Amino acid sequence: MKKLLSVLIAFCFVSTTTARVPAGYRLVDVPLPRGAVTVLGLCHKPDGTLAIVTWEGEVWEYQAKTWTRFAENLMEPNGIHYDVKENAYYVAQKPELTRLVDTNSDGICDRYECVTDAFGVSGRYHEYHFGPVADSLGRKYASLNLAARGDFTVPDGKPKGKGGGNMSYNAPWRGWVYRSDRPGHFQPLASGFRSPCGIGMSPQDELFITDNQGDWVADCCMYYIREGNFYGHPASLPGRPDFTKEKVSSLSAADFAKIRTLPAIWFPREVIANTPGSPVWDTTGGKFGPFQNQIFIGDQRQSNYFRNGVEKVDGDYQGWCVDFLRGTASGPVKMSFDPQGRLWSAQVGRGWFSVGGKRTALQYAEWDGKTIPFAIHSATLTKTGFEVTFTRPIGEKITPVVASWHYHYYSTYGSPRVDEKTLSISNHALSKDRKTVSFDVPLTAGKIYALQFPEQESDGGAKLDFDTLFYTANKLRPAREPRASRNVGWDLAGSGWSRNDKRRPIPVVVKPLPAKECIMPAPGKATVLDADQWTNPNWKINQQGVMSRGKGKNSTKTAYGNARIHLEFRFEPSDDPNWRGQLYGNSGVFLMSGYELQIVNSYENPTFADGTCGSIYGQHPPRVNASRKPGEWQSYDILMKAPQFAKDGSLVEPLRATIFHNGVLIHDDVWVYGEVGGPYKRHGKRPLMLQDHKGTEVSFRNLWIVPDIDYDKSLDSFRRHFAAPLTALADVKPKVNVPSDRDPITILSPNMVRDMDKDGDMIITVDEFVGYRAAQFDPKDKDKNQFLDVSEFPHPNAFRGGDKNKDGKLSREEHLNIFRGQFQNVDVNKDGKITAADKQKNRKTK
Amino acid sequence: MKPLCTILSLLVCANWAASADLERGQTLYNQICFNCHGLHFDGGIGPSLKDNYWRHGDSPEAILEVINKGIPAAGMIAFETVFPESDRLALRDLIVAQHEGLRGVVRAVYPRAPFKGKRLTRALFDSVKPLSKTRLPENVYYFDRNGDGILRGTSKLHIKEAGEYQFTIRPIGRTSIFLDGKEVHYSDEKSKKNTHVNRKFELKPGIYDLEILHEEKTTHSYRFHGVLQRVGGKRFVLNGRSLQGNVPKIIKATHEAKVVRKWIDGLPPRTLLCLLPNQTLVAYNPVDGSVLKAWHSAAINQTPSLVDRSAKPSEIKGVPIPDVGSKLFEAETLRFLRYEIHLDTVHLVSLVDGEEKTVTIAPEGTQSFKLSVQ
Repeated sequence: MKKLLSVLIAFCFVSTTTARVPAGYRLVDVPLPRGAVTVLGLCHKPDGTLAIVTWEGEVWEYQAKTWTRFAENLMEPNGIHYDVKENAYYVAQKPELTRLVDTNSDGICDRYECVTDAFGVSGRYHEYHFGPVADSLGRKYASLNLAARGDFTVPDGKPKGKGGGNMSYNAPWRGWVYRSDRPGHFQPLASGFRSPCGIGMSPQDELFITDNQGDWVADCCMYYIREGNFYGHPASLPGRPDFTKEKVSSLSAADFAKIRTLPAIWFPREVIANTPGSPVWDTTGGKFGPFQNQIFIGDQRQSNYFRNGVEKVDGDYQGWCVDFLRGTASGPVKMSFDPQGRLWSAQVGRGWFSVGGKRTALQYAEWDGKTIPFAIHSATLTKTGFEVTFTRPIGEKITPVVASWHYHYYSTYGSPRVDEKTLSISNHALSKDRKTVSFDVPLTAGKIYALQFPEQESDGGAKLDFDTLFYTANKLRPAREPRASRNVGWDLAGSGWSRNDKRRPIPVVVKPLPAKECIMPAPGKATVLDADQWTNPNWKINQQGVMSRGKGKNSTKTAYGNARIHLEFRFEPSDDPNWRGQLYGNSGVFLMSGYELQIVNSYENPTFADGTCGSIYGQHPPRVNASRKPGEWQSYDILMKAPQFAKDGSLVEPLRATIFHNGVLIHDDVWVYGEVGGPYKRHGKRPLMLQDHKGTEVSFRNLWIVPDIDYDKSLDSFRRHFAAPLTALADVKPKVNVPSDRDPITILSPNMVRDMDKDGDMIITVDEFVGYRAAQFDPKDKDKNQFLDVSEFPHPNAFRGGDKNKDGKLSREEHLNIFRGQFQNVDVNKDGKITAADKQKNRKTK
Repeated sequence: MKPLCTILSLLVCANWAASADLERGQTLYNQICFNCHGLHFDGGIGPSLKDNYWRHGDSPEAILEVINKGIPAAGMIAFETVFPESDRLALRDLIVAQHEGLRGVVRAVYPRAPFKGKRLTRALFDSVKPLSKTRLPENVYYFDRNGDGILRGTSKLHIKEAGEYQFTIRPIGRTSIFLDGKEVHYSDEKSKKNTHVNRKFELKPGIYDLEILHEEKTTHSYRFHGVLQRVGGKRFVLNGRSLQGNVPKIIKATHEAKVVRKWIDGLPPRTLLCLLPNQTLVAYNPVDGSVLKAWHSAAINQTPSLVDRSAKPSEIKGVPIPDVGSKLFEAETLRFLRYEIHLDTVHLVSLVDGEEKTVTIAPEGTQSFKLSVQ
């Protein structure tokens, strides 16, 4: 009977797609284990063992062409990662990030550890949990989908459900990406995601997320993740301390546009992707052909693999995408390179339709090791156009066609291509090796460029499989690239920022807890750090026990490791404008003499994010800015765990700290990257130290320390030490240094721009301009006779000019024509739209 | 193609001589078969013999073949070496007699052009070559997302209760329904008259040939919806969801305890379902350290969640055990750490005010569990 059934199923009509695979590559099917299996994720162990996770909740291992089941009964695990050091799998189940351990080495998981479940799950459909991936420090990252329905959508004035925002924030941290560096740790990193089903970590510890087009997401895209940034879907914003649901609902697309970060690459819909999966980097060292270090992504609907590259332009990543192969059996969602350099993909076509047609599949692509397919290899933006490189020398005839467009940013599902046009090309040039073509095109920031090479042949007559590369030019090449930050021997892995990055979002200002709740007498087991405990006599201590910052650092006589520390500090108020920024009351608490908790006045005294009061200097800005005014006493409450080193001096566990500033939690079990000026160096207990720094006066009091405390056991209760709800100060606008995607229009008043530019893209089209005026006809037409007389339109000159048939009144059409004419005048550069480029003409020349 | 068509026609047209000896079949079933397939044919170790899903076919021939040859991979032996033919036929008839509703559902999809402007008749369908013809193991009609065309659905209709029946078809596109070759329903959304509630007709217990011809405009998915109902009685829904290649999945107790994480209506999404070897199921909420509910004679039906992108919850089957709800910890801080399986016992470990505490859930008797905290 089984045979009969399979014959019958084989008779089923499937739309056949012809695979398009570049020369030298082939796509190979791998049979899946027997039983109900829908593959959602996969990863490789260094020994080549493949592991997959399935929708049905199982983990299978594939070794020597044999499948064995490792774990089962999980809840929709949507991605798997193998941690070599721990010999354990991490899976992103719907309700939890879970570590799967086989303690008795029988090949079957027997211990299911909760790594984190600190995010919310409302149970509504679409609350997927994707990942994890890991950085080089072994920390895990995963992304959280918004819900498809629920109570908090952001329709932005559009009818709900009719394109007006359908994804909802039903539970904490939906629409966020987070990091977890050990069991129990959860650190939300960035917000604004809709359906972030692709997550990848570059070999340089840079986190990338792919998202799906829909409400607030114009098209499928890939974001470069920077801690604290917002990526566009406003339903996730209530997770931030500076937003509430009410505030989000009161804002519009133009407000969100100011704080959002643009995708590094847009993937044109129906051409490149509709549901892009996870990015992987070709680190095979050439085993997978001539595309080393490029980023490969598969698309669930298109059933393809496509290639991508990113480059930093004016400090931000942007880049290109081009199709690589088409015709996978089902829709790739997650990919992994095996040690032989073959690119595997977990594929699924369930629920959503995939071009490949099959319900699920497991396939890999492999290269024959010699054939160089003729393809567009990569592209780069120049100051005046593009440089496009091919894998092989190209033929005589070169006829590129370049088109550009941009997208709306609004609550509607997806955006059409806006202002799509073909551009003229000049200054063709071909490199000596005949592989690189460069040309000039008119460039505008914020556009997507389709660089097409129709009928392009190699010099041997080979044809391109895919002739169009898409470049996302958020920015144009600046005169000079910003300088890299000083290398101190550690990186902010996975955070996207560099040390002292001036563009990093400044912490949100919140209300501190009342002072009397923060002043804390030393408990019995504490060592009070009074005059006897300090070594530097330059730091004077008065009779009230107040110590003033003196010349040179000041260390305790005793060395400490794990500790619970309390101290109070105060800045001398200063009106001197020369003593601002980092010079207004600078000192620092050097935990174990090397790890700096910054002390600087951050009350209405802006400075860079990771130099704010409460920052782990150069590494972690405080979660929020809870500073008090200079002159008032402030407090730090610190629980810290000393770093652990192996015998050979290598780091086993970093210094961790949980810190309150004025009773507000500013660091939650934070991972310290290294000493303030350099990498970790093996050490034991070291004194607590206070820093001397140029700046206005700082004084200290009530310093005490409880040594040798068990950090891990004390952490949960310490977190609840102050029951302060986090309240952002009213009407504090998020101060984000990220530039808006387009410069503001200056030729019209800001109010007019807001009213006319409905989609908030800082481009006013003739329709938007005239449409706004058309709506004013009826309110002006007080007597409802369908005409405006002079009293109803009190602009005599315009009236005379507009009244073409001289009947002393304006018809609807005549009224509109006045504004069609006005549009021509405001559109100074005559490009058919009003943008920042339209500047007021110098009136003197009139 | 030729043998395939023969098989198909067998499926659709076969008439078999029913043996009347259902009693003999029931006796044998109660001696042997119930061990795996359940006292009420609703499954146990083996699959249900009552539901719509038949992984090895649901025709009398297919059922007899399975009885004769067994399913060695699933542990079912070949009964042709055990029972004489008459007994095997009796068993087959007993199983066929449990059928109710649609069986042997075949979905054929036809191109649109030949039917344009013409009445949907069987003769017209017979003259056109179908784009596809598929046996649907779920025994309900459904459509591929990317499917486009006109449906001709053929199946057997098993009626167990005599009475007055009627079809209710959603007024979308046009639909003709034939019973044993006679048109019993015709509706067209374009016609002014509301024809979707059909006239009533009498049916006697027996097996009928049911044929559905249906055309509708292409949208992103088909909207066909139809019900056959005995007036004042049972409903048979004609359409449903595909399991998309999955077989129904029921998580059952085994000799080792299991911890299952599935979305269940009415339980928090982080609930851990501890299924013990004695078929007792304990729902534990790791977030606040409480036992929520418990059942005996329990299993978890994951089938509903396998379709439709998991938008549907799984279901718990079992007998509720009353008054088990309890909060196990009075603590300021509680964080769930892990669970482990030790043979028939589940260990659930939490960090309670900084101290590790283990909740142990073990089977007790045949219908209960014992719980301890250390």
